[in-house]
Amino acid sequence: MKHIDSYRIINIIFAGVIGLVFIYSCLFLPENGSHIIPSFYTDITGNASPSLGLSRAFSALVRGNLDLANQFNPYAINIFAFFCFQFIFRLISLKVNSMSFVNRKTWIRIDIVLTISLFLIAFYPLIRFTIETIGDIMEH
Amino acid sequence: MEKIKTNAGHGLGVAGLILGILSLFMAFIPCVGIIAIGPGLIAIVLSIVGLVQANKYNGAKGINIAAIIISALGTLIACVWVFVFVGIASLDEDQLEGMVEDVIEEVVRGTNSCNTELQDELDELEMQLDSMKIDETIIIKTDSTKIKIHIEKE
Repeated sequence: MKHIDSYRIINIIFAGVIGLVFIYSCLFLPENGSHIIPSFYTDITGNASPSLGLSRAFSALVRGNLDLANQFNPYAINIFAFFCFQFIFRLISLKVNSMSFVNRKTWIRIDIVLTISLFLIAFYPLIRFTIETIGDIMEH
Repeated sequence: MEKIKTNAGHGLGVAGLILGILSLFMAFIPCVGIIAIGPGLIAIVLSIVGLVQANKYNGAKGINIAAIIISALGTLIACVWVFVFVGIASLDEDQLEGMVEDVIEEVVRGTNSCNTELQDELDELEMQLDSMKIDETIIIKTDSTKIKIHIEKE
């Protein structure tokens, strides 16, 4: 039976996806606003959402322009920090089998708890907005 | 005799889990939340097929069950944005007009409350200009905004 290391595959793929997000942010200048991913929510409803300007803010952040990023989206710094942490954590996790100070199962448990906690902290405004939208739909 | 564990459905479970996590992440971003339905549905299909295979050939079911739960959650949240957009699309002209008026009113109210200081400054400036004869461009510099005003006296 051929053994599949699923944790390693998951880490490689997520590191790749996050890497692509960084490359996408590098490709477009923040001031241009020519990012290929539109804000469907704003386009359709005409209202602003907490994720509006996230791509432009990421483009500003990869260039080290924190003030401009903050102007585009005030939550972008937290979300970007989450992505940076995840990228580094995924790369470190690839070496989990050769780590002597922690066993694999404990590392995976730490990974799950840490990732969920940081996700909730970084995405809190977006999660709150989503829950409020669900509440509005329920009301109507 | 204990059955030998196999890898049946494991690969599909991993694929479903990855797509499920991606769809869950995307579903919480309102701007692209609706797109999460795509990977979410694919993840559900993959993990169900994986679970069926794991049941049939004695594979590990845990990863498939986790993938189904996560991708179902991601797809459900993504559906919220579909409801929002469908709700907007189904509004009649009068309702839409009313909604737009509400939004404009809200924006005007917000702008007025944010810019009272600026408004005061502009009023004061206007009063000063009334007592002077000026016909040129004036540049006002503030901490965060640069405003250029061109005033033509009649």
